Amino acid sequence: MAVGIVVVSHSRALADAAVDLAMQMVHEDPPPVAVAAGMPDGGLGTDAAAVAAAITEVDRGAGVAVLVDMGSALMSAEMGVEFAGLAEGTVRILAAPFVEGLTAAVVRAVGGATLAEVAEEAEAALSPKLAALGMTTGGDAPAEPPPSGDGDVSGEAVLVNETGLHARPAALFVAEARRFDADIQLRNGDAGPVKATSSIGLATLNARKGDTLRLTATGPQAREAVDTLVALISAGFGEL
Amino acid sequence: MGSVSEQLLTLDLLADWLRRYAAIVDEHKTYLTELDSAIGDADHGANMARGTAAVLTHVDDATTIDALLKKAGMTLVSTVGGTSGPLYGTLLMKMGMATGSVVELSAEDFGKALRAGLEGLVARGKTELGDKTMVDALAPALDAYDAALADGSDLHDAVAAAAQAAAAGRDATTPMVAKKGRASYLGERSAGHQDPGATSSTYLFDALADVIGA
Repeated sequence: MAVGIVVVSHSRALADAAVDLAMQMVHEDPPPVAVAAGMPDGGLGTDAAAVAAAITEVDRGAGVAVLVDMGSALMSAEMGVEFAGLAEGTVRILAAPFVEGLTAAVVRAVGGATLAEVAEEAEAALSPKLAALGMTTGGDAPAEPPPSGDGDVSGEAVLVNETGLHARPAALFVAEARRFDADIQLRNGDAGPVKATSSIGLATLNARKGDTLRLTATGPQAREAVDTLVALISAGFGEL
Repeated sequence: MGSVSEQLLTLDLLADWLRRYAAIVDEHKTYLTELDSAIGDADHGANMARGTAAVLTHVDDATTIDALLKKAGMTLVSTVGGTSGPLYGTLLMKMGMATGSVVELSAEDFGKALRAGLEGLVARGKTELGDKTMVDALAPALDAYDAALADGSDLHDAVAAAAQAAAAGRDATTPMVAKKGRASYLGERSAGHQDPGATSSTYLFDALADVIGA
């Protein structure tokens, strides 16, 4: 049961394109996604009733995350949440950048993350861009775990694919990491540790070809997890 | 002072109010869009004309005042497109919720409904007086309406006072710096322009004055 995702935009074309972009990262069953964007005549605008219908459409009982573009999208979303009438706390409008937040939310929702996990991931989605451009993020990315990083099992792997740990390999990595009953963390030199299940966390590692990634894991499946992920990295995520 | 029956706002009169409002908005849609092009996204006139035209297709169906206002509000929410949709929609829907299932309202009860609508709008927009918004026209208008009734004025005079206060409130938005909406991106540069939302809000009271003959 996956968290549902609703995309609210002034522009149908913008929303559809943003969904296409996000769905490129999904290699398994995608979470339910619905768009509430634009006016029936093709013009720009948002409609609270359409937001409510979209929320109802994607609600599978695991909660609904709502991404909004700007201006009236937020107010229509707030009103749409009220119209939909789901239980308190089961629908969240995310304080996330539209494109990055949607991508992060979709990737995180695959495989049954909770609404809180999806929200946390999406709302941290600006941090890789801030880090890459040398802007302070005002603290650690929320996806980052405490800095102990000492797990029961560890392993290392060198990134061999040309583009490093960019978004598509990161999404594959996250999907693979999520299969194991283990808390897996990843470092790239001084960067990290970050959770292996957080695509946004992985992006903050800024990991490029030739970098050595260090994995640590705890939990019942820690050994299998590290071995599998080391193999995935060493094999270049199937991109070679 | 008018007769007792003239002191009531009937279903038919309020339907006429919405029709007249749509007509005024349509007449001034280019002007509203011009105002909005100075400090916003240049769509207020077109958006409000589209929304109020959609309201016209439903006003004949209502058999009670609450149904009339709620349906009109919901229609604006779905057809205006911009922030004005949820805001005007909330205003009318909250008014409808406040009136109950009736076919006529006293001047006082209409004032209470307007007040409930304004409170809903303020909560929705998280807006305060002086933010250069609809509230800057609506709040003084409601205050003037209530004050006139409290002073013993009849409905005609109360509505005339409300329309006058709305216009004064609208005019007072010109030097304000916008705190909400697209205009707030302009900061200080939003000063010197009359607010489009306050302008279209004033038309609500112009329309009411027209249909009451105030």
